[in-house]
Amino acid sequence: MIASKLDPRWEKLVKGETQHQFKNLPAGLLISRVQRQVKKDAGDLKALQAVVDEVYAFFSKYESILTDDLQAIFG
Amino acid sequence: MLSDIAGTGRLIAAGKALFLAGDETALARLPKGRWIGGTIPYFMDAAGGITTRERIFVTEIPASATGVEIRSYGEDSLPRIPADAPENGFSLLILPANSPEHLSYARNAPSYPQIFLKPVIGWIAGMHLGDIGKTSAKTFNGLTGEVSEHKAVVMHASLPAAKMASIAIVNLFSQGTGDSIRFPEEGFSVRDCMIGGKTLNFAEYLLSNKIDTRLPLVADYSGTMVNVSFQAVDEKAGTVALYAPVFQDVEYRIAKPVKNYVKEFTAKLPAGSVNPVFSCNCILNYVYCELEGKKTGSIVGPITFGEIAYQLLNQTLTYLEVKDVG
Repeated sequence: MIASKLDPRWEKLVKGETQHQFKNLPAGLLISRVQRQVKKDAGDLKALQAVVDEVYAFFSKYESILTDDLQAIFG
Repeated sequence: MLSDIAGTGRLIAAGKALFLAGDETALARLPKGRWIGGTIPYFMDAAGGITTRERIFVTEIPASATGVEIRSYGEDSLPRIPADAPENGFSLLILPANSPEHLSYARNAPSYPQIFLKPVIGWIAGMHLGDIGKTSAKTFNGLTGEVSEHKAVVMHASLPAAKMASIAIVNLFSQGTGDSIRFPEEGFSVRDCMIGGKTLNFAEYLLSNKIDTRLPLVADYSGTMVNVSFQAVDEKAGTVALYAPVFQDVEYRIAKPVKNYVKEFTAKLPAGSVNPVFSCNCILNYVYCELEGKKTGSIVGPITFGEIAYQLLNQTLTYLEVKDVG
């Protein structure tokens, strides 16, 4: 079961405070892009929430093939 | 698989949905139907790397696909590709090399809405290396008969709930142990770079350090190695032309050398069987690693002027699989 969107670890992931090497290609490309975007939009809470929404939507859709990565990030 | 023009025509006449790669003269002789294509005369076939203007590489959309839609996109409509893609399925994309659409996709695709939610795979159409400067890369929309030097063509394929599309890459390159390189501006052509806190001319840096520019720049995208290949170093102008844009805020390093491409490629293929619906590899790997006549495992397909796995890649084998869910 994927962590709730309100779980602060999503924010840590998109801010780059949690670093993880993804085995899944689109996951790595997405997280790398959003981490750069969050740095660029530092302090913009609306932009941060939009990025969390995007990442949450991706992991929700592909949860079944991202179990190892989700386990490493969320325990 | 490689097929002659008549054989490809028969598949089109039978109503098959096809993703084609071939020389312009071959593709131009095909009838209208449910196909899209791009120009290139280089291929990896079961028998090994081959150059041919007479045969066409045919990828048939899997029988499990429940629907196929063919669309062309201009520069302004490219961001709609993921939104137009089915909720469950994949999109096969071809862009003509050096077109405004190619350059725009390379710069902007990572930020398109839903881009990483929908599997998008494809390649950059090109031409025989001896024809560079004499002809242009083209895409073919088999449904309308349109041949274009600019437009992207896409085949969106839907899959049933029991199937899932998965895109993966085999990249032999990883970051070497040399300098960390950043760029103050994004683009396909760069002048300055930042190394060790200093701003340097990138062309001078490459030449004075005798960097082998057959090795790409490599960035680590959270575990995925993404290459940017060198096109030309202009010492006089002080500029470096690249086959993909570099981005600000990304750290690059020159790749570690690859000693034996075929051997290392085979070793890097995922354990167990890989059964791609479609795959493509880069013209630079084909040329630098002398792949003509050599085999790269069971993975076959066109040799391209750039690979697309969601976003533009360079010097990277890219493949699509359709797997059972669960």
